[in-house]
Amino acid sequence: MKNRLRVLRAEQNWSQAELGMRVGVSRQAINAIETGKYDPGLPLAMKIARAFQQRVDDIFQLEETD
Amino acid sequence: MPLTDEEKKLDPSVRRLFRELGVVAFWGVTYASAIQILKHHPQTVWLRGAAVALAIAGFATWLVFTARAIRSENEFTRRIHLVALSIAFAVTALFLFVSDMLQRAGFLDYVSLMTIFMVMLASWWISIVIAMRYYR
Repeated sequence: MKNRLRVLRAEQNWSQAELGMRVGVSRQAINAIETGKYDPGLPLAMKIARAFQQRVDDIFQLEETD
Repeated sequence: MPLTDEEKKLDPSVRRLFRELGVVAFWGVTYASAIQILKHHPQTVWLRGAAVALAIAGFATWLVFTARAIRSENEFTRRIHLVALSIAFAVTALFLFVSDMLQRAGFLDYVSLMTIFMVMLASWWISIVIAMRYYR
């Protein structure tokens, strides 16, 4: 699973901690998602999409290996 | 247990830490009391039964509190605990298997149940640290 979290976050000028606070997780969680170590569940993915006012599949995309 | 006014002013994570310490202390007191009862009243069946029940109640309280605390966390933290518990289960299973084989082979005399329990707890805590470092 790849995602555009880092790019979207930079566009909003949000830190990882700030995004984490907006969606109710830690800075480490946001970092783990951005580095591809952790794929969020649907509720968290939807909260992230809502924070950026985008659709979930505009942020998260399946890769061929998934 | 209702919160005092002082507790309400505290940060939620600090409040939970205090509760965790309280529950651990309760477990410790019940366990120590049970051991003392078993030591001083080895002949009284009902007292021995009560001591066992007391120790189990203390441990069960801690177990339920810990499970609830994990469930109340966000999904990322729950994942860390899931990974940590999986590692701890595997480590404990390996420890049991190795101990059994060493006993059968005559290299080891006896492994107490409490040693196994301590290995399980230690591997769980170490696994949490490892999982947190991995996802950091």
